[in-house]
Amino acid sequence: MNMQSPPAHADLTSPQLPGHTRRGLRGVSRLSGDVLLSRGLLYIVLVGYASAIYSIVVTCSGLIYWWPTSPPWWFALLAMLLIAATFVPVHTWLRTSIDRLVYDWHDDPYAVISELRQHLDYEPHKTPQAIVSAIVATVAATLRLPYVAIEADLGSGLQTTLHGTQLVHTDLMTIPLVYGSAQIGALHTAARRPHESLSASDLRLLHDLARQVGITLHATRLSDALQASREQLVLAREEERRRIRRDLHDSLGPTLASLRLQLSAVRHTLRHSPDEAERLLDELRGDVRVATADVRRLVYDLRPPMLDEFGLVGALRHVELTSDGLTRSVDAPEPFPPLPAALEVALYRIATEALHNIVRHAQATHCTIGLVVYAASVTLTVTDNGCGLPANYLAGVGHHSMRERAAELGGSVTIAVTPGGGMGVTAIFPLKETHDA
Amino acid sequence: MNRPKSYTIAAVLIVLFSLTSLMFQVPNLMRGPGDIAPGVVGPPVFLTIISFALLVLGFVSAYGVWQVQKWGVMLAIVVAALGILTSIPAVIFAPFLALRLVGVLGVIWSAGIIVLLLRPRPTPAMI
Repeated sequence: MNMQSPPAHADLTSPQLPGHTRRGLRGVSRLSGDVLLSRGLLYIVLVGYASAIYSIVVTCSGLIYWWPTSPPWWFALLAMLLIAATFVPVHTWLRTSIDRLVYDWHDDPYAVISELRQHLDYEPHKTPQAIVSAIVATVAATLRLPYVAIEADLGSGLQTTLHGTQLVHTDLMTIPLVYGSAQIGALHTAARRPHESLSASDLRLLHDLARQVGITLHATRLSDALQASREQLVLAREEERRRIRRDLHDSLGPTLASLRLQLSAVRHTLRHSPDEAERLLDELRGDVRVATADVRRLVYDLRPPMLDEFGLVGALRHVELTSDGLTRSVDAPEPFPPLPAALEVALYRIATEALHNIVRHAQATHCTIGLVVYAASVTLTVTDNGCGLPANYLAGVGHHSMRERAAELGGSVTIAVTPGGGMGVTAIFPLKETHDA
Repeated sequence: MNRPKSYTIAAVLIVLFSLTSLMFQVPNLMRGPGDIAPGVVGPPVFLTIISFALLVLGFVSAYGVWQVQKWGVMLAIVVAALGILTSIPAVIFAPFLALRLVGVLGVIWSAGIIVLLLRPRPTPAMI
């Protein structure tokens, strides 16, 4: 078994595999128990056929015309000629029929699927490549196929995992591996014998297996994505801690240390120089104001306090904007249903970013914020009556930030010009019962 | 279970063949080596034993074919092929014309069973 990376132009639906031709490579058939069984059956029946023809022709003709004397020698010759004339077609028919019986008959097709599952369950923490290798080996062994290959993108590009060798003069059969409507990969296989194709039974079983393999590959990819997501969560948490630590250390820490020094200075100058003490106290008051603002900024970065104070709808109504000429209206159901905390923060941040963009670029006089909560999703729309997107529009940091916030919770953001000419930002988030409220 | 009609017919033919063979072989087994009539030599004992074993296997294979089992079909083909081979001595060496005709019938019967078992594609019954 080996793995290959196909060229960039390789197409999942193409029956062509890299390094292989449709006619395939010359291979040697395995001398398995099935081969012995099929050949044994074939030759037993052929011997019976030849013996039956000979005995019936010679003996029956003798019974009819020469009884009780022996028939003439040319009756034996006639029997031999009859056997010789019919041997090739009878041999071909018998071989095809017996091979079909031995190889293509699957007493219990679901046992094959069960065996595949057992192989996969044996080591639950296999890598995707190991899982695909196990699948191709199991499919090849249980269906007695000389050649099985799976072509799939397992996260590191399109890869082909092979088992066995395609026999010469056998056509390649490609079965797509799908999950839902998405094609995940392709299963390639070839007939067991030259100049033959797989039976309908084989194809049905392979399609059943392909469905299971598609689900398995999809689950494997999801598992990998989940692991990557977990790692990203840990990294993000550590990055957040580092940011808070940096903010506390670089901003609030020096400010508090400075306040302590200033207090000491005030204490020393208070009796002999009241004016100087008063000046120091003024400076001290300013520094305390800065420290307070730092604390507020830290708190705001963790979670906007207005969300707790007014709720999401109220907070959106109270977002402070630097433009005096911009009016706003908020359309939201009353009472607004409780949403998960993370979702509220994301909606609030996206809305505020959109509002700030309107103030900075849209030259609008009015904007509308809409919130609609469905059974399985929540939609935020922010539209304005401004000048819309410029012709040379390029997404900036703010737009990327909005999209990232949406993607973190499985949502999406669309930015487009509205029919009225202004700009519209639409964010859609899925609602799941598992979200923490 | 979706059993092909040819398998049903084959299973019935195997049982009938085995029952007929039983009627012929039991007297031979009971009598043992010796003449079947004054001055008429009976079949060799080994042939009688092989034929008896084949008819027992015939019943087993008929059950397998009836149940649409792969082993049953294979066993039935082997038993039918060996049935042809064991009938040929009767065709050639049987002292009576009736026995020879019975031998010919056995050959044709067995060949028919093989054709019936190999004729259908097994796919409809298997999945």
